[in-house]
Amino acid sequence: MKKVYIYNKYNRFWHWTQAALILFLALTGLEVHGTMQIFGYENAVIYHNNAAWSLIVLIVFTIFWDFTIGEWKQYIPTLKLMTDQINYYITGIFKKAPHPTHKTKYTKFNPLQRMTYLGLKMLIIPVMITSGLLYFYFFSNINNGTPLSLDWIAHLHTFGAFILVGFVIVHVYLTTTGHTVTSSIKAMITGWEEMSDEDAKYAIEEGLQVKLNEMKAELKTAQKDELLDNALKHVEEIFGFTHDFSLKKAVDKTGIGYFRINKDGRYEEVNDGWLNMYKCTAIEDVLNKPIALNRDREDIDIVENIFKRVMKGETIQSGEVKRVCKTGEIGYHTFTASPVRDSEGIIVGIEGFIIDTTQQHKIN
Amino acid sequence: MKTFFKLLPSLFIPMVLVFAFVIGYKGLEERDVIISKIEKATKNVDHSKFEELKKEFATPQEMTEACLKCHNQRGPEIMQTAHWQWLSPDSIGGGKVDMLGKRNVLNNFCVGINSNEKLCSSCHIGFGWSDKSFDFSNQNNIDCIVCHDNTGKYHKKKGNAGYPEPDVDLNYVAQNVGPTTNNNCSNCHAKGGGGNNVKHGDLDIEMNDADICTREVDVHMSKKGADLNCSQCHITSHHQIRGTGPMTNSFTKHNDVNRATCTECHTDKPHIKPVLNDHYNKVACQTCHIPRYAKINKTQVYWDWSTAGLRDGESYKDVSEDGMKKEDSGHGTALYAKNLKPEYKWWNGKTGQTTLATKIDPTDTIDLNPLYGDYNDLDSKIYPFKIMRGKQPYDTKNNTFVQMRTFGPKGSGAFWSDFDWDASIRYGMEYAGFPYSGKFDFADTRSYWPVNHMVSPANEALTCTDCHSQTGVLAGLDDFYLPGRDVNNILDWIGKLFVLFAAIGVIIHSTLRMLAKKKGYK
Repeated sequence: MKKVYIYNKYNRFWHWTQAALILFLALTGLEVHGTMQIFGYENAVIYHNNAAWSLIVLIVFTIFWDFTIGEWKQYIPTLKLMTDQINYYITGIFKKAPHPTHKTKYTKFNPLQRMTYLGLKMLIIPVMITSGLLYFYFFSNINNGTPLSLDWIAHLHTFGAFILVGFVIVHVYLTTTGHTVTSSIKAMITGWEEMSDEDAKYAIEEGLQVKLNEMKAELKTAQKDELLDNALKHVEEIFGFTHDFSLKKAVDKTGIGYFRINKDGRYEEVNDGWLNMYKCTAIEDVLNKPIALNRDREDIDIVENIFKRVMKGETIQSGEVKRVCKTGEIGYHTFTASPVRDSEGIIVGIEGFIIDTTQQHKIN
Repeated sequence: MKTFFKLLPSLFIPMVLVFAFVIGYKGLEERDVIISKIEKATKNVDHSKFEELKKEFATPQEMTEACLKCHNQRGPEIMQTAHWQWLSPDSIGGGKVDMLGKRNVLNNFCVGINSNEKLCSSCHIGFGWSDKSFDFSNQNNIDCIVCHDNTGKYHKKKGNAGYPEPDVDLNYVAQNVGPTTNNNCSNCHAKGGGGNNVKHGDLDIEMNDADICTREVDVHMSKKGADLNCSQCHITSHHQIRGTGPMTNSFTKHNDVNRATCTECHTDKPHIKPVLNDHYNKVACQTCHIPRYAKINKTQVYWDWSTAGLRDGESYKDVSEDGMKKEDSGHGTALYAKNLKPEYKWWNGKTGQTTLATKIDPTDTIDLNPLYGDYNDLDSKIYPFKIMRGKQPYDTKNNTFVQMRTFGPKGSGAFWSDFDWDASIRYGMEYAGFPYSGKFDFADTRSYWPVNHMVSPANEALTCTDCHSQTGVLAGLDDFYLPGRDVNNILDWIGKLFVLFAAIGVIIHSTLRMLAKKKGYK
């Protein structure tokens, strides 16, 4: 058995204040209705109005808060697992079957709860507030002198109250269906809910996953660059060297092409200079393609011969080949080629640079 | 415990603060100040110094002539008042304006004054109104003293057309006149219907008694209360006195003529609690603040004329032990009650009236002054009423009420002397100038008397649940939804069943769970 943090402070404050106000409204309302006598009629009327206004303020603020914090997503209705949840209450609970849904900070409600609470928030409570305000300030605010009849609005308001009382009974009972009889109520008081190890693991994993996703989402923004810069700085501090980008800049500036070919004779990497020379627009046009690409037929043997030589360990310091660009133009370039070795010294491919010589060929 | 302290700032303290507001906040105080009351009129002239009042008066009219020699503008002024005319311009239910008043409107006490003026005018501010021939244009017929006597020694003789008792020293009373006192008013207004507190129920001559009239009887008139005079509320200008009774005069909220209202002093936001002020437009002040009336003496609530007459040729008289039921051949059956709860009705201030010309439906109880207004009428409020019930004669052929002659000497046809219904009706109807078919019977009637006096102290006012409960005083006023009283039984039952099913479901489900656990079923 583990405890998992489910309800934050505002959740709990809102829940218990709303619960207390609704119960208090029910008591004072029933006194105004003539069902019972507790506070005295006049006090019941005054308390009922004050409690109603307090509840309205609380609910309006909570809705605002729900949207600000994203808590509103808890109420999105879903049919997924709805039948499982209903079956759980009808049969599963008696067989000590596990809960079909998991309760976590991010999905507090099961599908039945979502539907019920959304119904409360969108239908019952708005109807109660509207009818109550009409009751007091329009129909029976007797200073208003309205000729309209009060009865239907009063009946609606009373009927809604009975629905709410019925809800409270079932709601309180269903709190006993948690891991232990009191675990749900304790959770609503302290924020921490006792649950089975399995449920707790799920809840914690979900919590971590959500945090991770949140962090990833944050990294998509400008913070990403900052983070990388900081990481680089950190690495520099640890290893005690400063990275110099001047070589890369020179390569980029002069348009020298770079290529790496794997042991199967297929392109593994080329740089922008290479792509420019071959008049390719996207690197996908080249990657994983054989080196026979972009050659005249008679040149293929020469290129493959060079590849084989380098794969055997030779380094070619300078050579010249003819190339066929993607557009069909013919071009020439010199090249270097040296073997690429893995950590154990085995040759896994070749790499080198190319410099365009097409202009010289034209002059010659 | 550690958890408790940890949760204090985020959970418990905020919740306590919310509930401190819910329980503690009473609404913004919106009470208006009470304006200062009208000062009592003072006596600032010593009339005993006037030579004019020292000479001997052969008739009461000569006394009035002496008054009017100085008060030379008052005669014509008084002759326009309802106190003199017993008529005033009135529009029944907001329709055509007629001259209506005691002279032509019927009630269900003594029915009406036609042919009985000699008795009824004991309460007229004049001398000599014994029949139709009375000269309403002779200002010397005005009885100034009945309203301005400050000695308590002036009395009109009963059944003598408004003339004073012969033993009254006219010079003495004339030399001691002054502003109208409560006694002057109550001598007529408390004694309407033939005795103290009989008619209105909320006007008792003992309200002028400092010992009897406690604050609990009437906060305004009690010496220990506001100690107000009638005329401090019934403000008077040029002898036009504010506060006309609705039995004989109707009004509307927007065409309010001659009313004395609570709000003149108390404003329309008199309560500290807004929840009480919110009731202003639908509930009259009197409704909550006069929970009972006829607090000192009994008032008449029922008068059945049909039992009047001779029994086996003999006159009879029975009075119950407690005095609450009287039966005699002259009046029929009378019921009285004391310390009564008012009855409550929607009312917009307009009433209908019934005269000898009004066609009636005798199969139903007839409202002599039907109240206009209902819940949906924006001008209506709930008012407290004394409802006087009774049976009185009507013409079964013409379907109109009839006027009988009650007062007169033996052989005149007067009912109280001859006990002959037909003769008394024949005389009365001929006198009043209305047809009588010769056939009569008795119809059930009601009349409505707003209860405005005998305002109780605030702590005795009705409380919320006096109305807002199923057994409250408004149980009969059921044409509107009243919170705390009315429920929709069907919806209430559906709601209760829903709660019940939820509870039963919970019990069944939890029992099954416990059984499954016991069995160790997997």
